[in-house]
Amino acid sequence: MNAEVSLVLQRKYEQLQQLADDPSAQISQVFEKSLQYVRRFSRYQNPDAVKQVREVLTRNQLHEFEVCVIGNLCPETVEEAKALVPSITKRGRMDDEKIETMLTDLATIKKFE
Amino acid sequence: MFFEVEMRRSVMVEPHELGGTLQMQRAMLRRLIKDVEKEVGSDEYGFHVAVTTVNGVSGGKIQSGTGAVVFSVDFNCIVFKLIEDEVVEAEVVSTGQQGFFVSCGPYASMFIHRKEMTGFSFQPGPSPEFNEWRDSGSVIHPKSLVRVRVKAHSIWDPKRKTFNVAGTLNGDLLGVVVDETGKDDED
Repeated sequence: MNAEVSLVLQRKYEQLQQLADDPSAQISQVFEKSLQYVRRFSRYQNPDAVKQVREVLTRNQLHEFEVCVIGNLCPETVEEAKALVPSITKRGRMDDEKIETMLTDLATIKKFE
Repeated sequence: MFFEVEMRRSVMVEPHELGGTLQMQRAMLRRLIKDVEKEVGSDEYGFHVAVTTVNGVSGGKIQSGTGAVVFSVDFNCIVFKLIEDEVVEAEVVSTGQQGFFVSCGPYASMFIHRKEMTGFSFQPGPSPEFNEWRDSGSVIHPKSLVRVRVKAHSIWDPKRKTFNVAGTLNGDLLGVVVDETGKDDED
């Protein structure tokens, strides 16, 4: 999820500054663009909140792909979640009530972040 | 989206870097990071973002002639690759008659064709930065944020060191994103 990667890349950025011989050494374009992207598009900043989000999503038995898309986009309604990640409803994996509970849990984490 | 993958590379340590264990480890790590960054990306994993942990080092063959030592390093690396059907948020970089381009992390340009944005019409501006696409509710211009679904993804282009990606705005809950508070829906 973007939020998790944001925490990792921030730490990496500080490490890279220390590791480089040459203080003006350039950080790679890919790293820089990725760091900017996750800083901008992370929904959660607090590391504990991020952990809780992952917990909520994995305990609903979502596949990694689904965990990431929902964690990155934070759908607010059941319809939104189903439109973004249609696979969560396939083969009766999650009914509307379960999805609703999951989204409410995520919203609560966000509120108390 | 981001993934963390296991990779293996051969890393060369120059003779002048060989010394204490710590010095050699730092030299090896620096070299590894440089090599991985230089590749920029690959077909299998997408863009190489950052080396995270080193899992194991083996080998240690001395090259005849130079005296450099080559190690085989197993490590974890964060990579970024867009997946078909994934919905992502992205920033518009340019708008034109045929559609518009967005950037998404290390992907500098993902193209959304005008056929993939039904309901929008093109409004040319006095210069390219002012070109817009408008529909009844929302406007797309450079710096707008949009939610797009990834439609097609090419293989790695080794010359340009990037992928070619196409996206769509056609679909529920896709379209222009307004601030952090709400979202404009484009159906």
